[in-house]
Amino acid sequence: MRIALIVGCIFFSLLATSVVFPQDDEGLNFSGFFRTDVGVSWVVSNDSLERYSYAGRNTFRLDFINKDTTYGKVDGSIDFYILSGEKSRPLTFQTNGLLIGDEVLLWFDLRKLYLLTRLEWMDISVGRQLVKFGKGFVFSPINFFDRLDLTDINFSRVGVDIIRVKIPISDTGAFDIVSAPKIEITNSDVSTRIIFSVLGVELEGIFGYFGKDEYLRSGVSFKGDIEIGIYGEFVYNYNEEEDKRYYEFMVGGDYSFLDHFTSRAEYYYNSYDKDNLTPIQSIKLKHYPFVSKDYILLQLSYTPDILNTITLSYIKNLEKEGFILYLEYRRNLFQNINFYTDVRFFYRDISGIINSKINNLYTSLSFDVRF
Amino acid sequence: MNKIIWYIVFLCICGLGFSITGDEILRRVDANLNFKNAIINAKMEIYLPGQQPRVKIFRTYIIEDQKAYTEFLNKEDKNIRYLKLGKQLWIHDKSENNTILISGHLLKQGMMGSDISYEDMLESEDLYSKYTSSLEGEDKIKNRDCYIILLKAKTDNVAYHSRKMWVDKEYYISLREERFAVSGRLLKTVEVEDFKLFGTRHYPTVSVVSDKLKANTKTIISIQNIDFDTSIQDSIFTKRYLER
Repeated sequence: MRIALIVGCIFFSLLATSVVFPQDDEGLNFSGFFRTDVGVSWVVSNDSLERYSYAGRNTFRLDFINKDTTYGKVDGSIDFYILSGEKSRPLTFQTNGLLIGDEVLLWFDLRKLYLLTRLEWMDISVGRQLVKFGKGFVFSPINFFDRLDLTDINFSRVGVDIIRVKIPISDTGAFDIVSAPKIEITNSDVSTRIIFSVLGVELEGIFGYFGKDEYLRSGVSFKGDIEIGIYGEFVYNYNEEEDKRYYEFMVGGDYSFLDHFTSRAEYYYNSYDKDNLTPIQSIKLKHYPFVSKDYILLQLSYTPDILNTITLSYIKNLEKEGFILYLEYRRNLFQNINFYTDVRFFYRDISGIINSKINNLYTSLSFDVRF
Repeated sequence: MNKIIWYIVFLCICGLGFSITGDEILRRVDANLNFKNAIINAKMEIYLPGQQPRVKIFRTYIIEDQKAYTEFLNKEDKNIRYLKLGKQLWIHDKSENNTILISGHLLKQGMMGSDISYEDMLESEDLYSKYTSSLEGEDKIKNRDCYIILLKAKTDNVAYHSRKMWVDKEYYISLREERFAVSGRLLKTVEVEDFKLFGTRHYPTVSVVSDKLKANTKTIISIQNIDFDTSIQDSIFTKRYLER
């Protein structure tokens, strides 16, 4: 209840701020969307649909940023949810939700909320931010600070609480220092990154320390063109214990053809020896949910015009049985209104941790209105 | 006899003096289109059969043909920004704090779903350096007298192998243009609906672009205001500004 009150206070403070400072260069800019999803989830076993359940979600996203960002900015994004049925079940015991009745949950997710100060030769930002290192679309071992949410069909990333210093070194280059501090300072994560562009190729190097598991990480990434777009990442994870040292890499490519099709393929490999790990230890691995040795992503999008897009994505665990199949159709109904429908099939456990034979089929219909 | 000879010589000189070549026409077209820098506020209306137009509003800062920064201002796309430096194009999604270097093959696709490709956006307007031109004849477009010139690419490093232009005889604005692939296939048409005088140059303010590989689509670009050769800070054309 206290959490709901705090969120409510934040929301109304923001609205009040926009009313008090209505001038062009003062106050906050608001944007976002309202989206409603209605879905059905089935358990698939022995090639038949055995048990189904309703899953509903209403999302109100509020993005805000101060209008004059010359010397700094406050950048925030909050998702407010009303979750029902299957969508609310896994979150019922979380602290930032408010249960209404048996199955409906009010929930919020603070995606980002940070303050950035712009000095002459560097930017300093503190707070919850979305950090994206590397070039990988789904597999991105160089991406140090967050994990991919595979339940999100758009493969969006979650915010992390960090302090970041970014120093531009050229028009397209920068040097970054990012730290996720913890109470025990030795548990903190810290990473440096340099990114620059040369001869049409974008290069990136990282060196960091992952405190909790005591890993030193160094890696590189690139993105360039040889008719097709190619990109890749390599990371070496050094630990004092020799049997915990491992490397990861991914290579990917994208190509568009016949004017309306775009394809993408990515391959990921890690050399981590996970034979003696418990499932809980496996879930805590930095490269979770891609715990098995190697994975592949295949994606095909068909966009006949601005109104319609069909996307098929397939992620396969190549070491063990397990794959995810997403099929999404998006239709822009009007200027700011979209319709979506999708089917998602989760065959066994993509991470390879649990030897489960239970599969899950989920389908949903959604609308969103952008403001 | 001498008088007749002198009369013929006089006619020839007059003919040389007043005839115009394709190259000269192209140079004058370039003179209208090329600028050192500009700030453009424009509206893009994307038309599809049976649909209300999808409207996008944007602001672009341009320095010669090398640097451009574009940000969208309509509510659906206000998180999207582009930075062009030379032949490279980055797109920044402010909502996800993510900057992506666009792969070369994607540059042929329509920008924000329009009939204008990223390649069109990246291409320099300095046509004379990239195309040879020949005067093919004369025609009338919208009751305006026009030269027809045919442009052939000097190198492979251009988006269109050849172009046919109907150039206004008085203002040297291309009122209609057809753009072709190497195979001779018509890829795109551009029609200028309106143009205005800005200082000493005439510049199109309403253009209709139609991608002939799409069925019955068109995009209308309307320039709401434009400042030529104004001062633009170099810091705008950086990833720091793109991600600000």
